[in-house]
Amino acid sequence: MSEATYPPARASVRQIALVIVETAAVLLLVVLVALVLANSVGRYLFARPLPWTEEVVVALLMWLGGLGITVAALRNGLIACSIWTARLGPQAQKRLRRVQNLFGLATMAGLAWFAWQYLGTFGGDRSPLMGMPKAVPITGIIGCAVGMSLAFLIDLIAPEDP
Amino acid sequence: MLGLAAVTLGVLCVLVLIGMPVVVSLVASVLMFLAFSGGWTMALPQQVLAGVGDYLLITLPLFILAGGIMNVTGIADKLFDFGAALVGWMRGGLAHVNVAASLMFGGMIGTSVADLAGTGSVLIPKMKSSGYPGPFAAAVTATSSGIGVLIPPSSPMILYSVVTGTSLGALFLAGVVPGLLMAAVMMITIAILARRNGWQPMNSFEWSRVMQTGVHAILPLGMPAMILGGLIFGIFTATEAGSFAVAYALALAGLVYRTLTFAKLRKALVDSVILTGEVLMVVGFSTALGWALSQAGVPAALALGVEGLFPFDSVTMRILALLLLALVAGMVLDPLIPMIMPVLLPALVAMDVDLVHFGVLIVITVVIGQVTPPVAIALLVAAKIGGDDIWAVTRANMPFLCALFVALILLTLFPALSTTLPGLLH
Repeated sequence: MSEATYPPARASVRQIALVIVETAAVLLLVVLVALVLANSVGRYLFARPLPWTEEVVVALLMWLGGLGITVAALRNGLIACSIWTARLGPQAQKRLRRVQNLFGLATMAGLAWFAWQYLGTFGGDRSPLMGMPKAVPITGIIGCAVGMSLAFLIDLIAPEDP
Repeated sequence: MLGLAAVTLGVLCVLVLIGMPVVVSLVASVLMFLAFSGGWTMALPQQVLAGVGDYLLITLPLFILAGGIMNVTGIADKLFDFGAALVGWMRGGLAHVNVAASLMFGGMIGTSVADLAGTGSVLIPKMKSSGYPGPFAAAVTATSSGIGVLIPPSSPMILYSVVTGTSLGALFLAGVVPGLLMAAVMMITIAILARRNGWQPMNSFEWSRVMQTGVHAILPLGMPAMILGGLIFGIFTATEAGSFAVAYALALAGLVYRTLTFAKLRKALVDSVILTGEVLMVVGFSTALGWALSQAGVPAALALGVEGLFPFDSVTMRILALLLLALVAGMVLDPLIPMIMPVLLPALVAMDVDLVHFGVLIVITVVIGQVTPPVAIALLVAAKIGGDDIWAVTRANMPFLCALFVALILLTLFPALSTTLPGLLH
């Protein structure tokens, strides 16, 4: 089913979400690349590595994963096996997709719930060098679950061909 | 608990086969395991953090970004011209060029599907217009794209290194000879098919052309050379190599060739973010699944099972048994390494298998899995690019699949092919 079938407001929700998440993810990647490069250059040119950058990079990797997979979900580009489902008729495919989106929503809700509990218990732990709270990577898991839920929800409201 | 583990794996396979995204399938199967085993529920986020919290994983977006910049700015074309000058004079020249291009291009980009998207969109139509059958063009492009993941940098090797704790430098070096071997067996297969079908050379061999195109290819080929050299001589770590690779690609595309625009850079960044995001989350959730399966005692049962099947003291036979298991899993699961290695690792350690050697073998198994139905992601992408029927492409790929098995058996029987170069590190 194409985007044009739905009111422009519904269809543009996906576009707006995509622009926001994509920009955030790209900015985060640029920051991470800059940190790793700064650490490497510091070690080679000035004999002064920046060990704190490693802590920041590790803490933010979870967010990079969460944002990246949300972009993939919003673009309907998640890794999936379609060799059997591609043989179904259009109506069956439509129904299966609805089930997949609902199942995805329920699964992500479960993930978010457990990550939320984990945040409450261990979110205050701090990293050795910078004292960065463990809440940073843990919220990355919640961000991943929320982002993917949003993508599944948008696909339920205004499905779009991959 | 083993029964529950079997049901968990069964649910995972069913979910994947009904088209559920791999990430959702992984989370759902772990949740199901936790619900029925009465395990500590917070183990799920804990294991995900443990899986993604490895500094080495940052090399993944770095190498993907570096290769992406080279790809979108057209630098890969220079490698194609060099490949044509080097091997285009053989019978079935364009198919040989396809293999050579994958060898060189994959050496920059590190992921086979990205290599396929990069070279396939150019080479498949070109081969078809030159008279090669469409399914053959798609098949040779799909299989040859797997060569690149053996030549450093390599995303599957980064994942293997993270999951098993094996030295990434050693793995990168270990992949070089097997990558060349795989290219050789593919080119032999092409030569046989070309003779049988009367496919002609692409051009004649001229030293002047080789030199001319070689000069243009030197700078792009500098990236894998820099990574390998840096690792062999202990100049930098794999993570630093990744950051220098990005800087090198930016300098090459922006300052030397001046083909880098903001739009192209954004495309490379977005592609890198998407691929990294998917792989990172699969790594995280696979770690959780691996934890669940080890709680159920699957690795120990697996080691016992393999020893029971092969009671004689032959590590090679046991490696082959584990590879067969990985191959069956690889036919359905993608990406395979983060999903299967947490299960296989304890068995490998118990059997005292060389993890560098096994790393190379499992990467080839990944390549075989990507061109073997029912999933066959590489064949699917190539068939889509070429507009060919997937079953016709699968049939056309059979000779190459056999060639891959020959390479896998050779590398299993002669570990020195993989382990000699990493020995230089010591």
